[in-house]
Parts: sequence; C-alpha cells; structure tokens
Amino acid sequence: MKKLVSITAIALVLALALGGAAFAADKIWAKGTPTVIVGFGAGGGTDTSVRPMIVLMSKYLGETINVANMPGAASAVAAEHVLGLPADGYTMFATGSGCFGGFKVKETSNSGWVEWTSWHPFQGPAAILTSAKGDLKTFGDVAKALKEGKINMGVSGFGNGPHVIMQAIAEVAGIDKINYVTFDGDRSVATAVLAGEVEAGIVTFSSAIDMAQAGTIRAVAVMMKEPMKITDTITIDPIVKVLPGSDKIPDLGETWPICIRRDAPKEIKDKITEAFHWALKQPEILDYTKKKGLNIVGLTGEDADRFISLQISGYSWVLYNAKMAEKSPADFGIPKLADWKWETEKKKLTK
Amino acid sequence: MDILHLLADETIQVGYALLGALTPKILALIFGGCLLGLVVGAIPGLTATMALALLINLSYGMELDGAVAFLLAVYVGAVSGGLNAAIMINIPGTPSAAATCLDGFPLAKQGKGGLAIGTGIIASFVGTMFSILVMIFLSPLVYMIALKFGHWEMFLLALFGIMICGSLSAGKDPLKGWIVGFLGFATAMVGMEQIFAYPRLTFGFLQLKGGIPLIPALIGVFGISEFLAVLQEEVAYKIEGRVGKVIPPLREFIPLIPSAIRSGIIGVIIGAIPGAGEDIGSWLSYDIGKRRSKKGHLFGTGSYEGVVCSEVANNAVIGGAMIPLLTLAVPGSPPSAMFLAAVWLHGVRPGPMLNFENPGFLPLVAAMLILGSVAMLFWGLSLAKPMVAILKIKREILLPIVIPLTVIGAYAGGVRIFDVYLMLGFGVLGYILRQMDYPLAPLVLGIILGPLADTSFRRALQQSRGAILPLLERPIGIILMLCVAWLIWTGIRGTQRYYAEQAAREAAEDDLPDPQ
Repeated sequence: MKKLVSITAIALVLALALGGAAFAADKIWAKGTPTVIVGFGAGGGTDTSVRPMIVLMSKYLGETINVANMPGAASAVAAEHVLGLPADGYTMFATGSGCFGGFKVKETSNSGWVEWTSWHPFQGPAAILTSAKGDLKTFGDVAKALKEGKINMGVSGFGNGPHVIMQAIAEVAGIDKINYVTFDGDRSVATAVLAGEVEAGIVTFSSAIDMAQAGTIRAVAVMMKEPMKITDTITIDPIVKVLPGSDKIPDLGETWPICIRRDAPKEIKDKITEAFHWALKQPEILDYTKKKGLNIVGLTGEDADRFISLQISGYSWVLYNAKMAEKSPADFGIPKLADWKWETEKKKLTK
Repeated sequence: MDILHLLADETIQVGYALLGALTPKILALIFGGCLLGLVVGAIPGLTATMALALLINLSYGMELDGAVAFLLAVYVGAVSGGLNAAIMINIPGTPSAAATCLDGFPLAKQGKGGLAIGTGIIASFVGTMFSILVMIFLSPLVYMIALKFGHWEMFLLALFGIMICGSLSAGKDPLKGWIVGFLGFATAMVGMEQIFAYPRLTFGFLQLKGGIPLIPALIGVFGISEFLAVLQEEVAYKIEGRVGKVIPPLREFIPLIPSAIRSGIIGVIIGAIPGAGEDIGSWLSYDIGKRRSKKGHLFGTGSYEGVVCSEVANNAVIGGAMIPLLTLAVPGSPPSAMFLAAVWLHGVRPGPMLNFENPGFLPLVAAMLILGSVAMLFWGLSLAKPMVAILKIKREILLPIVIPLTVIGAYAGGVRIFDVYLMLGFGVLGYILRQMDYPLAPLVLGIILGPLADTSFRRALQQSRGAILPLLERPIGIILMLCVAWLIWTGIRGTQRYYAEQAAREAAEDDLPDPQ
C-alpha cells in the first residue's frame, strides 16, 4: 500500500512538472513574470499613462506583466537599474521621453536612445493656461506680460516637456527671461493657476483638459498645428496661429514610452510590438486618449528611435543653455536641433 | 434652505448607494479587500500605496462599483493595519502608524496589548467615518481651505511639524528631540534635490542620487534597532498577562471623545492638502493631543489617548484626501493617487466635470468607504486576540522571524538591494541613539518633512522672486507663523524647565547625607 502511494505521488509530481513545462513552453516569459519599472512615483503622469497600455498588453499576451515604481533622479535610477540587469527581456522601463535628454548631460545615466528599443503609445500636446477669471485672455496677453516681467509662469519641473517647449516659444516670441515657479506635477500647476498662485502655466494638456472643459481655467494656446475643440463652445487656438514663426519649433511634445534593452531577445520584442499595436486599437485606449486629449502616435522601431534621438537633441541643449546640466551635450556627440539629421544619428547604432 | 436641500439630497444618494452595494459580490470584495489590506498594513514596509499599486491591474477586470469597493477597502484596511505591528513589536507596519508606536508598545509591555489594539481599531473606524461625513457634507469648505495652501504655507506646515520634535521626546530632554529631528532633516537632504535635480551629499554614489527612501529608514530605526536591543539583553523581555478584553469599556472611551474629534478635524484638513498624507496627519494630531490633553504628561508612556490621537487622524486623512481628489483630481495622499489612477482606467474622470459626467460617483465612494470601515472594524476586532497571542511568543524567537519580513519590506518599495543596506545602517544608527537615550520618532519625522520643507521654501521664493516680505502678507501663512512661533516659545520654555528640574534633582541628590 505504502509503495502504491509513493508511486502515485511520484507520478503526480512528474505529471505536474511535465504539464508545467509544457505550459511554460507556450509562454513568452517562461521563467517568471516580466516587470515594467516606471521611473516615477505611483499615480503620477507617467505611471497613469503606462498602466492602461500594460493592462491591455497583458490581456493580449495572456501573461501577467507587473508594474513597479522606482522613482528617483528623473527616472535615471530606474534606467540604470534595468540596464544593470541581464538583457533577458524580463525587465522593462517606462518614463517620459523628455527624460532621456537629461541623462547624459546631468550625469545621472549613461544611456541615450541607442541602448533602448522603445514603444510610444501616445503624445500629449502642451498648452498654456491662465485663470478663467483673470485678465490674461489670449496668448498675446501672456506673451506681453511675460516680456514685461510682470507675471510668474508655473511649470512642473525644469527640463521636462512643457518647460523645454516654453523655452522654445520664448525664443520665437522674443521673451528674454521667464520667472518660473515649479510644482509637483502638471495637475498641480493647473490647480495653482486656478487658485491664483501663478498667473499662467504650461502643462501637458491631458492633465488639465477637464478643468478647461469645465471653464475653471483657460487654455490660450495649444502646441498643435490645428485648432483643438474641447467642447461645443470652447476651441483652443493652435500655437502656429497665435505666434508667427512657431511652426519651426520641432516636435518636442512628450510621449511615455515603454522601453526594453536593445539587446533583449528579438522574439520577446516582436511579441511586445504585436501586443502594443493591438492595445492601441482597443476601445478603452481610444476612450482614454479622447478624454485626456492625447494623440495616439504608436511609434515603434526606427520611428521610435528617430523620435527619441530628436528629443534628446532638443531637451539636452535647452538644459545646457539654462545652466542646468553638468556637461555639454557636445561632449556626448549630441547635435543641436538645427544640426540634427537622422541619417547621421542612425550611424550611432552601428558603432 | 438650499443648503439643507442639498445636504438631504446627498444623504439620500449615499443611502441609495449603500443599499445598492449590499450584494454578496460587493460585500465579498469589501471584506476580502479589507482583510488583505489589514495583512499588508501589518507587515512592516508594505504600505497602502504599494498594495493599491499592485492591485490596480486586478481591479481593471472588475465592474466600476466592484473596483471602487475593493480598492477603498484595501486602502482603509492597510492604513488601519499598520497599528498591529506598531503595538505588538514596536515596528510601525506603515509609516502612518509610527506615532502609534509611542504609546501602543508601552501599553503592550504593560500587558494591555489587546485593549491597545481594540482602542486603535475603534479609533481608526471613528476617524474614517468622521472623514466620510466631512467629505459628504463639507467638501466645498475644506476644498476652499486646501486651495489656500501655496508653497509658503506648505513650508510653514512642514516647519510646524519639525518644531514638534522637541515634544516627542516623551519626558526626556527636549533638546535631544530637536537634535534627532534635525538629523532626520539632514538625512532627507541627501540625493537629487527636487527643483534643479542637483545632487547633494551623494559623494558620487548613483544610488544615493535617488535620495534616502523613508521606508527602509523607518524599518531600520524602529525595527532593526529593537532587534539589536533585544539581542543585547541577557533575558529578553516577554510580554506577560492574559489577552483579556479587546473592546475598551465605554466609560474609558467617553473621555477620549474630544481628542477623537480634534484628531479627526486635523486628519481631514491634512488629508485635503495635497502633498501631506497619513503620516504627517498622525504626527501633528499626536503632538497637539499631547499639548491639549490634561494627561499629556502620560503620552509616550502608554496612553490610550495617544493611540486615539494617532489612529483617528491617520484614518481621517482617507476621507480628507478624497476631497481634492474628487473635486480637483489632485490626490491628497500617495494611496489616493493610486486610487485616482485606478478609476481613470475605468473611464471615470474625477475633477470639476465629475458631477456632470458621473453624478453618482461621490455617493458611491462614500458608501464604499462606509462599508470598508465596517469591514475593518469587524476584522480588526476579530483578529485582535490572535494578534496579541503573537506577543506571547518569546522576543528572541519572534524577532528573528520578523527580521526577514522587514528585509522584504525594505526591498519591496524600490526593488533594490541598496535599500536593505540602508535599513541595516539606520538600524545601527537607531540602536546608538537608543543607547544614548535619544528619542527615535523625531528622526523619522525629519525624513518625512525634510523634502517638503526644503522644496516648498525654495518654490515660495521662486514665486516672490527672492523677496521674503510678500510672503509674510499671506493670511493663512500668518496664522501658521504664529503657531510656529508659539511652538518655538513653548519648546524653549520646555527645555529650560527640563534643565532646571534636572539641576534641582542633582542638587537634591548632592544634599543627601552620605550613607556611610
């Protein structure tokens, strides 16, 4: 009897092990659960942009993808952590695309665009906000007050998307110096504009579109080529209409890419690309982006590389010119925006 | 009359939402979620924010009401669960329960662990319910107050918090409290500062650029130092006594009601101010309770009132934090930020459009919070006796079991081994401070408030373009400055009194006749 029990037990264990192995063989990540490390805190702008995509991609792939947060040094701590792990495709990294521009010049991470394969689901255009009750009713009013040095401008941080875009706008509009006040996030900037703490602010519009729809704040310009209709009665002017010459400002609007080490297994990257494109077509994402005023861009492969390379060029030079970087971008071979050419940049991949 | 109609309408809507939630599925989610939250909260290092971050994906597959029920129950459970470890092993399960250690653990040592946990759980229930009522009926008023808190006011609030360090020294030298508080403050300065991302005190270490995270420091200071202290004792203390009653008698609870109401108000307001959170709420409430109470001198030696002050306030932050979240989509505390992310995934957009787009959402949140609190009360009281049984295990057996859990807790937040080393380092620091009779609580308070004070002060100066005078004209700022001035004055007086008493004691000892 004892023998029979032992044989049954061994058979059961073997069956389970074989069954488990067969099951694991079907999995993309057979050895464990993959994790996406978000370089900012839980509940923040990057975190909330990444999670809806991960949920749907998990669903498509039929495997759980964990999301963990590792904030610190504008996501450089997370980037270094992921780069320090084996390139087995089990750990991914998510951040704001503008952050790559700060890594090398601020000496927080050695990585640029070459080290990563990235997937960019959507892009958030920036908008300039004022109080609905205030006197600054148009972009012209804001530009004039800024030129006279009369008002403060809220941003969520130096060197991030909206700040870099504002610097580019200031250059075109002939605004010499802006007194910035920083806040913890774009939503806090919008709230500060509402509360009258600052007269104007620039934010990624997705974080404040509902306040503009409700009429509690006013958006005087949005960084787009076309007008943006947010309700039946409110349409926001594109920057190209209100600021002559602004059409030359390159595409510096931030995206929130999911990244993996470039040397990760190709089959894992291919599966992620498949799931990524599927997720972008789902009604949940279409609804999410519509409500948040985000543009679906779906950048992958070479388009994604090209986009980050351009952003690094734009962001790193703005940081350097604002004396916020330890090193010059030139030390790392990062060209100025005027000199940026994808054909030249692309060669970095083969080096 | 319009206001009365509005209030009546709100009450009816919450009532409907409550009735609608009484289905087996929702109740199972609430009771299950709350139990999960209590367990997470009880394990040092695992916090409400972490639990919600992990469970968001799970809630995505649920209906909206189920997801709200589940996540809020986890939130209430996790904030409340922290008190168990604080009382039982002197290691706060979550940072928000750190103030509970000060009286909870001494009570447990006196064999009153069951009553301490019972009091804490009831206080947590009262705090959550109080904050829900404020959220339903006084939301616009609290929202207006919270909106007045600019950078300057946030700085003063943080300064107010730092100034209470002296009184957290539990009858010992207040100066030692200040010293440790500023040590914590200095610790918080390590890493890339939050405005220009300039590295401070990092000595070229990349890991330090991310700063010193609170949780490993908290577990080290309270947990590892406790472990080291027990190792040193020849016969480690064992907590004796019967488990006894868990629910405190009504006559003992009635005198605590004024403290509970005061702590509830503090918790709600702190919760409604974005950037503050459960931990700041409980510390401020504890300190104000100590100053206002007739039995303030007993705080820190095993006072039920101390437990009430801390636990009512940290739970009252929950409803408070929901106010800016629902009205502005600005979360008042880190776990509520996770909740916001979760409801976004369900297509609900809190903020000024909420009443137009999802008119039933606020009553739904209120109803689920009420049921979550009831579940927390049920589980908390039912589990109190088994929890206290843990106290009966010998410390030299219990603590080696707890230490691996603390390592997991320290590691889980940032997923890096460096945090475990930090925890051990802070453990040694905590041990040295204990040996030299310095209080530990101000160290943690300094780490919590340091970045807030530093960033808010410099941002306020950005706003005023470097001038101090315009900042001094802000009305709420004036009130806060007066409070800070009062704290400094009482702090100096307290220190003088302590040294005068000490000198008198020494003189009396000198005057004693020589026994030989």
